[in-house]
Amino acid sequence: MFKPLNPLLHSELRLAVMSILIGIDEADFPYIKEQTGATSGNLSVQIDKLYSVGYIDVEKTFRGKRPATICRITDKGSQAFEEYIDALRSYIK
Amino acid sequence: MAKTHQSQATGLRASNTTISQTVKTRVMETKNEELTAQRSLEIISQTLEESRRRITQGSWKGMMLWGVSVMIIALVVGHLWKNSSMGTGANGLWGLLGVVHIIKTRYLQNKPKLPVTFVSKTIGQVWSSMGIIGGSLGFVLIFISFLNNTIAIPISHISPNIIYVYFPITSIMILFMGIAGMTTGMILHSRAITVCCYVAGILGCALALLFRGPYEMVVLAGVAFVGLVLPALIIKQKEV
Repeated sequence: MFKPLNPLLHSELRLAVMSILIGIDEADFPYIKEQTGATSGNLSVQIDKLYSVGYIDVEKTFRGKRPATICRITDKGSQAFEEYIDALRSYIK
Repeated sequence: MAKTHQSQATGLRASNTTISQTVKTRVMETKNEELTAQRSLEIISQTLEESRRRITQGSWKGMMLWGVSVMIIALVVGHLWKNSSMGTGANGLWGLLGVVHIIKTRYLQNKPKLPVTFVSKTIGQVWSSMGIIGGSLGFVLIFISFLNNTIAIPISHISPNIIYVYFPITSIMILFMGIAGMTTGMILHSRAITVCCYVAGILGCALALLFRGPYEMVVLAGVAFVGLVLPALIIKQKEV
């Protein structure tokens, strides 16, 4: 029996963002952009989607004089990611 | 007229960019719908691996910086201790490690910041704990030595004689460095770091007890080379 895949995570870019954030405390926007190879606009849209469902926390701050956007995965996001992996396993078996 | 054409062309280019961005987003959305379970797993494993590689890249630089700094300061302190009127007062130059830390922080302030992982945070905390205990111990000993100039500190109430305690601070610091280095090696699953720090810690601790005085600094410089510079070079070699 196939488990349903979370549509919010079943997207290349959103999945990549979550995979980056799952193993670290926090990451800033340029780092995620560099790792995913996405455009700033597209990445912003996907980050907003993940933020709106509470999977990630987004903090707008300053590093020195430069503005910085810091992203962190939330407990809800970690749980959703685990469930997504579990669901994927049922497809691979 | 020419200006009007130019602005129209700029406008067209801008709208083309917007269209191409929209198309790209649409392609991405279409791709999302076609995402298979296999591809999802590939994305996750690739992203995790690339992220791990990126974070560990250049981790040898910190070890190299601190290793070389400790080596240079130790040799300078040893030289001044033996050949100048400063004597043990030359140990005050260890404060330069704080200056190195400030310069490093200033330099990294404008560089892109790497994310903090559980591993990097744990390693940082291990070395910070060592630094805090070592630094505090140094201050306590300086305080006691100042006190000692006016007040004799007996270690036994029974003995009528006043006994002064020799506190092998260099040996203890080397032992701390060995423990912190070995812990780092084990966390990073690096046999090179673990073995180097074990050898540096045990051998350095014993040698610093045998060669008291200015020569302790030569031992400390050797420990910094074996326990920090050598593992950094090994890690760098593996990266290439």
